Amino acid sequence: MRRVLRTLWIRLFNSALVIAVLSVVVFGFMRMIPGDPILALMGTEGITDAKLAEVKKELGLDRPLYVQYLSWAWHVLQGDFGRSIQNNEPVLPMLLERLKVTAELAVAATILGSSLGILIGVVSAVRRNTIFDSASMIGALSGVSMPVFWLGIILIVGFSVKLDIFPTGGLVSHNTRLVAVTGFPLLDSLITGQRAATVDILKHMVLPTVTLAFAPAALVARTTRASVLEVINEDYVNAGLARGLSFAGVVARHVMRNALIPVVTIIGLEIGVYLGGSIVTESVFSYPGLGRYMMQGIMANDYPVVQGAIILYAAIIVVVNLVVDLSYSAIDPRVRS
Amino acid sequence: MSAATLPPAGSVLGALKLLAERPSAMFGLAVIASLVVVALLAPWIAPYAADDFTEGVLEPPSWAHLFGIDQIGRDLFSRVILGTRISLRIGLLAVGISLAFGVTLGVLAGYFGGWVDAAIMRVMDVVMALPYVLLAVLIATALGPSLENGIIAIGIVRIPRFARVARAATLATVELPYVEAARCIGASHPRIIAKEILPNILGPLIVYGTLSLGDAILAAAVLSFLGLGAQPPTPEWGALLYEAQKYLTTAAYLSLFPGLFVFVTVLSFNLLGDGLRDMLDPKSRR
Repeated sequence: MRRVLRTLWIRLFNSALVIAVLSVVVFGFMRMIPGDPILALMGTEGITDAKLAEVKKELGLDRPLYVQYLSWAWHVLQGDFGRSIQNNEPVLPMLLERLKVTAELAVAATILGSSLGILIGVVSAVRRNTIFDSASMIGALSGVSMPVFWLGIILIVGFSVKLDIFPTGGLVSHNTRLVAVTGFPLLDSLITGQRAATVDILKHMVLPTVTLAFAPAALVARTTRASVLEVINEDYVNAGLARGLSFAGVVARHVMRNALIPVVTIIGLEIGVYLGGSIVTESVFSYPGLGRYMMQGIMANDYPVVQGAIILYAAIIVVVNLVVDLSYSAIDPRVRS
Repeated sequence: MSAATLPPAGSVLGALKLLAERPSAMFGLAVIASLVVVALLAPWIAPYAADDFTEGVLEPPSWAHLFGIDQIGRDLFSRVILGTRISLRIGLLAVGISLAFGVTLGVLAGYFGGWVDAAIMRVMDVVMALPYVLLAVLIATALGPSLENGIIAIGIVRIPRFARVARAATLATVELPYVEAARCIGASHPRIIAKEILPNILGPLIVYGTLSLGDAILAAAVLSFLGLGAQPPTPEWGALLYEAQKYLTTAAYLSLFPGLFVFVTVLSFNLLGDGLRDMLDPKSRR
């Protein structure tokens, strides 16, 4: 137990270090960006140098870079991510609001992508070298090769423009009113029992979810297939069959448990793919999540928004990786020692 | 990734024969070869120049204009064909950047070990902590949106991955008898790295490089689509898609063809890369 705790502390320290270094990098990058946020905000016309200097002073942008960084980092540690240069609202609440939207989308896509990927991977491995196997592996490779945004576009053209089944984008229809409780739109609509809103949100989620889940599903399918093939010829599989267990039972109980570790790793690592993919997907579907918010921040040179978004992304990924590492021991007792 | 061995030097034909056993890899190779030909001959294949105006606006595909005409009257087929050249060049340059820096760092880390290894790989870990797309977006934003900066961004993002592959392969090679022998006869570090290590870690690097070419082209398209890479009117595939998205409801074909080219190109590189990996790594031959 002591060793486990020690490892945990070291991992936590490393994670914090990674985020700290990243924060410096991001801060530096944002200051390299060509263009002045103040000018982007107020337009270039009718601004005197004196006025510009005054606004800069007000926002603290006249101080030396390292002072700006330290001041920003100190405030971030206290949960204050600064105010948006565009509308002067505090950044953190807005980031969290958008993150909740992205989170629902990412969770839906993770569930869809992982379950579909595992299912296809297992069936492909069990029915190795059949037409199903070849077809699904070609499909999986296509999934990895397909530009996410192009898939989104194709889905919009097919299901929204031509068939008119799903909306082209956005979180909800214009006439749908959302009552905020937790800030998670889908969850809120369920809690408050607004059936119509739930259906509306789900309808808007379908295409982005499929878009976002496609590439990860493909990766999970490939990993699962390889991983199941590794263990399917082990002695304990034959032993199970010899004792009269059904093949499906052996696969479900013994093969899956042993084959799952690499798959869990991949699903964990995929969080980066989901978050990266969400930036693109949200742009295609005008989905008001964190990715789209950050892109809007980038276009407006809104430093606090972009810095905050990236720190938030990094923190999420670091935490998820930590959880994935820890979950190994839950799946495979051998890792515990 | 295990240290793979290349077929004996000079047997390109032998390698092709091994590869020929894998139809999917050969398919990838054939498509890539055709794309290279198209890229080289693009100005002669394309009936129009990239910014030539023809008659009509937003015309669907026809025999005269295979991929249709875009919103300001340019022949899309010509633009996609000319874009082949740009996209392949992006792939090569970006992977060239990642390869040069990544392999240098990875080999140094693997060869010298100790604090050199620790220092290099910790930095790589930090870079890897951010999602690929996010980091590319960040760098491209910082440098300013342009085709060249997009290439640099994509090149930088993949450095850690190449470093990891090169380091793993170097670690597997550095303990081998011939490296020890070279050390015994007093060969210098640079000489050992150049003559003994590098030629023997080529296998995994070729595989990873091939897979990365597709990824780099894909990433470039994403950057352009987000407005951070190649800028219109450059006929880069992602930039074509960026322009086309405003016409989804009226002219979907404008989005269809450039995307199809990205997809098929990336798929081909992945098929070839997978085939090469299977070929070089006997363990994964099933």
